[in-house]
Amino acid sequence: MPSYPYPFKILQPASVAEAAQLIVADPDATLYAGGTELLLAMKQGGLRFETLVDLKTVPGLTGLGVQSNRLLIGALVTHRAIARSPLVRARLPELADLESRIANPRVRATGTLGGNLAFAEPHSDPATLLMALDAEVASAGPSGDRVLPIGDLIAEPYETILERGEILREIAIPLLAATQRIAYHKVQLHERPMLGIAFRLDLNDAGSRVDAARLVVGAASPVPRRSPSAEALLIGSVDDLEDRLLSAAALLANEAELVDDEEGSADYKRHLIEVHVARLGRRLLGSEDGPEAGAPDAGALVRSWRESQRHEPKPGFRVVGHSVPRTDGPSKVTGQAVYTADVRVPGMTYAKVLRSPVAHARIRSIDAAPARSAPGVVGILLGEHLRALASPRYGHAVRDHWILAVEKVRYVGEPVAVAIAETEPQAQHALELIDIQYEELEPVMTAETALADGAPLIHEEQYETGASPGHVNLEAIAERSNLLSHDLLKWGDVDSAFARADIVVEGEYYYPMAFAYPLEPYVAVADYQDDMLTVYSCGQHTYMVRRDLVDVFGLPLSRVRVITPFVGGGFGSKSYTKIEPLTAVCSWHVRRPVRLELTVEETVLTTRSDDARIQLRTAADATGRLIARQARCLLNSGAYAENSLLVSAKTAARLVGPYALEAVDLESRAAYTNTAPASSYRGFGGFHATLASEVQLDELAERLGIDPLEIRLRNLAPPGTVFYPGKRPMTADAAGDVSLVAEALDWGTPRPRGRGLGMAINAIDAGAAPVGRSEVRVHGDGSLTVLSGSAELGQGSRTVLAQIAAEEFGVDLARVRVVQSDTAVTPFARSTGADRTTTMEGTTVLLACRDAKAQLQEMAQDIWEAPPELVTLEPTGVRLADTDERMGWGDVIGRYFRQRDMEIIGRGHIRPVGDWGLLPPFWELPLAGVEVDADGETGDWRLRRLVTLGDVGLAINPAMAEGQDLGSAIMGLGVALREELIYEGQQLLNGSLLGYRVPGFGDLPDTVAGILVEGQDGIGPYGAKGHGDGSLSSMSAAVANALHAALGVRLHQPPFTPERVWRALREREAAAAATGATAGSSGGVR
Amino acid sequence: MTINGRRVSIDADPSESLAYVLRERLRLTGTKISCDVQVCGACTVLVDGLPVSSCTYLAYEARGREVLTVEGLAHTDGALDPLQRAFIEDNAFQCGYCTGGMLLAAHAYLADEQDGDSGENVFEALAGNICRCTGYVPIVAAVLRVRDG
Repeated sequence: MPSYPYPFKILQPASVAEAAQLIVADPDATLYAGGTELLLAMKQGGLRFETLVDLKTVPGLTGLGVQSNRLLIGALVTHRAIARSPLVRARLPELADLESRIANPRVRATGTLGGNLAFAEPHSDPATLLMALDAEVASAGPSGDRVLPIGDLIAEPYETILERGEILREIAIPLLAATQRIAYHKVQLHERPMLGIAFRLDLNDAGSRVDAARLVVGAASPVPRRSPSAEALLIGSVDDLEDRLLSAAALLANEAELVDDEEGSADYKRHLIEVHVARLGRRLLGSEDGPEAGAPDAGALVRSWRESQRHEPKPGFRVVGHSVPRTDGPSKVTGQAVYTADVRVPGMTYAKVLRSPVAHARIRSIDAAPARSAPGVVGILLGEHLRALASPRYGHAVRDHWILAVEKVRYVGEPVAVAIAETEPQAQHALELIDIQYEELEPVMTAETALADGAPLIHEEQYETGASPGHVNLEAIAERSNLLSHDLLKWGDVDSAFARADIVVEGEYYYPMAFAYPLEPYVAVADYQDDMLTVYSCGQHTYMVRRDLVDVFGLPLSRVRVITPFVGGGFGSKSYTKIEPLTAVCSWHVRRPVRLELTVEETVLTTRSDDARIQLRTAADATGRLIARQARCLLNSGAYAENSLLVSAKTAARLVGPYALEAVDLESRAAYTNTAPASSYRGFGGFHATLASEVQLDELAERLGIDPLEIRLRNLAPPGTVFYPGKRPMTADAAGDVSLVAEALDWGTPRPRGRGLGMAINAIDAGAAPVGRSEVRVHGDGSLTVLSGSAELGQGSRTVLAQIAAEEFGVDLARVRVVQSDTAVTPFARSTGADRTTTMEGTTVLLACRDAKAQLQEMAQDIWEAPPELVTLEPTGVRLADTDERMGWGDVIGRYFRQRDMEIIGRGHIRPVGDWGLLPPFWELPLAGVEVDADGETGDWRLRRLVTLGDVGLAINPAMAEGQDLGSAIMGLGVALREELIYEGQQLLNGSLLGYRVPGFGDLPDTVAGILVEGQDGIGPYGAKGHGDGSLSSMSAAVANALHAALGVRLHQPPFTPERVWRALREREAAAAATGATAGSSGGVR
Repeated sequence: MTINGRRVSIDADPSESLAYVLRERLRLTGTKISCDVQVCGACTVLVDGLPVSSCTYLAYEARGREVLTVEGLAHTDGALDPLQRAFIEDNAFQCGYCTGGMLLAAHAYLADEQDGDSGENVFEALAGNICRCTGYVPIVAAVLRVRDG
């Protein structure tokens, strides 16, 4: 919500004493400094205050200076000011360095050191270092002034010992003498630090002896902890100090009360303390460099990117094949581009959703009467209101998704009631007045438990199929089980293939639930009037949303208008219908336009990706030739079907890989559970399957002693060969592509310790259904309006479709306008996803252009009264053969109609017949190669190099094409690094950006290379093939393979967090030790 | 306060975020709300030249100060700022939802660089802004294009 959920006032005291009085006088008041912690907690509902007492109006709290050899920092000095203070940088650089790494630049610009200490958030840095510096804080309060050691200030998490009205004024830090050294190290996985260690050594003048030490741990413990016993142990000669570091670290860890939490286990934190205390100790002694001496080289990264973007346009093209600037560029860099969140309709009201706090329950009663009469409330929508609709449920595959819970709730976060009010805060307030009583049922949280005998049923009803049933297995649903879908893909004789195999490898792989996080959360604006509905949707599939709305209201297609403005990122998570039915029903209920915008937390609860547990076996001969595969996949698909049926089917199908297998037996089952609904996510099935498929291939290669590159080259299906029975033959030179990636990575050259290369590939039946149509209006001045039902998600379709039309008509791009995704205006488009738009919508635009040109040619024959063979098409118009007589497109229209500004319209379509009838229209090869740099002690790793390859046939816009691959790869890197949605009991544990951290600038590799392969061998315009989802699918497998090359451990379950890598290393060591011991003892027996 | 060079007088409740005032009262919708927890940076605007998360930052704090939003980056004659041009040239955006905040974070970084050593490299300066589309490298390329001339 863009504002705070309830009003509060702000008071402006003129002195510390006045501030103290205000606080003491008002129990609902609190002190307000930078506000970065306080306001966040208030917005999230964790804290509630009626009054903020603004300390920023109090003079004298922002001083920064040195007095009596102590650095004095006023409580209200911001982190940024400390980090950038020349004084601090000169006199206490370790503090400046720490402050320059707090949170992000915005928090540093606003947040204050005093506020940070007073808030006592445990996952924080400054207090830890300040304790090691023997800092003190000065406060003033009702009981007078006092000075406290910083260690005494913080009592427990979020609690200081300051009494009410006592105000922290100043932090005093003794400056270090030349013989004192200090270092701080933090470890961070998500948004906040998981561990901070401050280590100080006070040496004698000769530097030969430690006279005193400070060793403090923070963030991993409830409050920062010093370890006096560890410090005592460190006192003594520096000669054998290194030997004492580990014991000191162990004491520190023992006394720290390390906590197990979502940041990591106490076990791992203990290990990190041991490693980093030793490293910091050596750093203080000068025997080891600090981490990352020298900043990462942005220049080198950019040079690598520009290098790979050098591109020779294909001859014969004027606009196509050129990296023209995006046509939506100016509007997007000036803030003028309109997204659904920016749409305002006269008379608009605001909706907020009340969500279920329990995973599985019957709704016993709802009392909404007090909410109905709350200020500003226009209406309260409840499940009971859905009875008057043509359908209370929607769903393109299975119509199982209740628009609002009726009788039952099926997951924490399910919408149960909606308040519609004149303002968003009023709607939010009304929700607090709705009382719902639940009768809890046993929840089913995992796919395994959902399919166990006797599992509670999540859906008791019999549902209909939706408009695009795809893989619906109504039998399974009719069986009254939690089995949502069951796919079995079989060919050949698997048993005999496995019996014949020289080698069989098998393993279990798990791809976690993830959140696509498009920056624009789900948002819709709906207006239901006179049995006509207009909806602004941020969905990718404008026309599928229309279908669901038509079914919900029983209206004709013509009376439902869905408009998709610019979409703020989709990545599959905006495929199909989301909150449009709920918003539309709100408008229908109150007969006013309604806007519903979800928060990111609500967005996660609306759609996540399916997880998949995959048991895979691969059979091969002794040369590494793959023979057969067998798999059992199980997906946790959440409370509603959404698109998980297709996800499940594709997970099985994409285990085939780009390999010609004699026999397969690939089974996948998706289960309903009481978790947030799962659905599409960029390249679904692809990333699930590629993890298993390509990691196992590396394992096979290792067993056979074959290089991972070589085993791929031996098995990749050659172009034009049928490798998947009944499907289109391979449409790319997969072996050539893999070789290019290997070459870019210098495959085969030796790597330094801790470095490793990995790659992964798959073949994805992309493009979805080959059907669609477009129109091109040619105006009287020869300019063009392209009408396409596809949506602009950021992928650049608006630019690419314009390029095709401009190329066809020989006009400048500036004379083409593309109008998209408005069902009242634009022609039908099936969907925007599966990398289909350039290939399929692009083809229909191309055909529409050619249709228009054929009409213009005929019109010119009429104008010139010439036989058809004498009127020829030229790049920018028509020509009468053997003469100099020419007409531009506009001239033809003007002369033909004898009317200025008249126009014609060209139409183009494709349908699944002929060449388009063979599926898939093209095979997309997700392909990525990486070099990782891994720390064998901590398990931490980062990318050094990233190579992506797009086998695109022809890049209509090469720079944008490469941008798709790079963006997709970095998105995939997120799951390899740390992204994973975690359920604890019934609750999603990390459904906010504070606990779910996607990749950022800090995760970038040293160099990137994007390769485009353009064989003009695609079915799309000028030989183009779709791509863009691809590289994401390969990233987890590529990283897992590279980590094996670097450290010798096999990981089967992303994210490959440092802790998981460390555990794998530890298990390997334990196994090696056990084998060694066994070998030793058996040797003894002999 | 001054917004994009124009003085405006707003009677806002103390509990209104700066983003709310910009988007709902002034209809400057180039400032986007995404994570709403000061992490993603989509709502970044500059107050007296410093980046803030306008989703959480109170409009109250901007009283008497100068606020710069993405709508104010282009020059008064309508010409795009070199940074905006570089973003277009380098394809430093796709969906565009992070772009306003990203431009302002980059603008603040470039201003710091001009003033001398900020103590932050480009990665650190932009680290608080999330982009899900581009894979970031084109953004770094655009910023360096302006920084290095």
